[in-house]
Amino acid sequence: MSARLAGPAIVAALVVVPPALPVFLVTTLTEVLILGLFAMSLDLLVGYTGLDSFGHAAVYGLGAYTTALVLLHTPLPLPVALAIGAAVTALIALPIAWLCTRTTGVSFAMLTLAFAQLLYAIAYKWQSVTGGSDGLAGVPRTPGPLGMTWFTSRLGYYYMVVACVVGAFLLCRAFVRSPVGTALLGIRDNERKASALGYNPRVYKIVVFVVAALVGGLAGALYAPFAGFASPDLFFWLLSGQVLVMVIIGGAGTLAGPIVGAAFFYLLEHYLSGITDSWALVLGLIFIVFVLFVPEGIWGAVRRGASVS
Amino acid sequence: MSRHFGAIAAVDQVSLAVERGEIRAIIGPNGAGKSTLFNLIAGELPATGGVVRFKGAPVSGLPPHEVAARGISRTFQLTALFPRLSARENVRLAAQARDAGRWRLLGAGATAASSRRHAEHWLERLHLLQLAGVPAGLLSHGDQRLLEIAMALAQDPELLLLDEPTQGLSLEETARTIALLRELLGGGLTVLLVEHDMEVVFSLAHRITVLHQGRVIADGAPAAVRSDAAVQTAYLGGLD
Repeated sequence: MSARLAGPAIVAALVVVPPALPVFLVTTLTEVLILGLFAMSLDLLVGYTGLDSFGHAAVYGLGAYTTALVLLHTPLPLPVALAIGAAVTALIALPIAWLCTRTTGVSFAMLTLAFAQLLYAIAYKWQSVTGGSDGLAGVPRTPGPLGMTWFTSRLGYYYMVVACVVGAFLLCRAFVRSPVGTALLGIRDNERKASALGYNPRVYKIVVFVVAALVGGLAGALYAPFAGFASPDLFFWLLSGQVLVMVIIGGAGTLAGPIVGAAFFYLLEHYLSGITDSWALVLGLIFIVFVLFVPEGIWGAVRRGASVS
Repeated sequence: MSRHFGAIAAVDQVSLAVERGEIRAIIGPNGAGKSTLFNLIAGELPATGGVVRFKGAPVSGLPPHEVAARGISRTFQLTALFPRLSARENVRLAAQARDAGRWRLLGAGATAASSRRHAEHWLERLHLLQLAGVPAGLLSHGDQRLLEIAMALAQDPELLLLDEPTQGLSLEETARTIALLRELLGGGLTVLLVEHDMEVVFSLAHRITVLHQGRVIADGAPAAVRSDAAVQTAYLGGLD
């Protein structure tokens, strides 16, 4: 199969197959796709700009809490709540981006981590709004006007997620191929040279940070009505670390790779935790093997294999 | 202008004026302050004294990307490229930096196409077109030096700063680069050239400024500088 047709074929399978699957698999697939969308948004920073964020859970949590609050406290329908979740996340990310991009490398990683933990603390402590450690439960999938109820069912919600992931993928792909996106690759490869050519690295980094927050915020927004709740864990550094692993295992700088990485990570975690309590150890070893021997990730290796044959 | 690193004056009250269309070489022994002078002009280092004017407007204190946007482009002493991107993409990014459509998200294809045409023009001028698809990091050192010149020219500069363009090149490659530069720099472009290789300097420069320990010790036409006693001493007879 040629690489050109791989994408449409995968999307077609995602649309056609699920009605025939047992319901728990539809749920699994939905969660994998949401995580994949989240990992893809981090790839914009890690793979395309060389910005190693250690606090990407911040945007996931922001998207989830914002959407949960909108759905719990307003009569607005689900699609509007999702859009608000993503938009508010991007808006809050703007000043954070402005501050974090003053630094590079390890300092950048630590600052992003600090902001995510700060938001975690707020979610934990601001009981009256966030529900504290209980989080926000009973998040509804408010139907829209004119009989728009299709996304309230399990399968309907799955299709909602597929539509969002495919749409976000196409937008991200257009973004990384645009003049702005190609300049990001230059900044990733040699920031000093990029600025000598006339690119202002700081402005470009802020732009990509906000775009990544918009897409990652959408992932979080999709999660809250999917799970029916939002909890402080969504901001926690553990999730920031896991999504970084998904990007690296899947293949940084490929967009599609991190989605594959998310599926791989999720399924492996669930499979391993069923057979051993030390599943994290095995997962860690697998991660080390990837970093050492498959640095281009699953998708990178597949693509290289396809171009060789 | 001056630049001090602690008590050391790397560039000490150096004053020079370069005319439009002039090719000016800056020479001097190691540590004379040549590269520091470039970094001051390009905005990589803040000056501790003095001012840089370009076409009458001060550019000192501006960050590198704004200096570049005013029409000053540079190459680096140690080759600076985007190693994972193809040679074509390297030059295309240089051309795109000056393109009005560089922030466009819709209709981005037009920006890409015009910068790509621009890039291929300069790759061809530097005889690199057959290597356009090769990642820059995999090119030979000589081709990398040429690619960096192609990038600087693709920025469509009015002032070009060349930092040792033949550094590390073999004799043949140096000769090839001199021939190319003669051909490329003829069109009224203003050039500041830092170079150790005197053959390059004397075959390209209209005028030569000699730096020694951060100060200008001679300035004038190539022939006059060649016979200057202070220059001979500074180079310990290393010149000719």
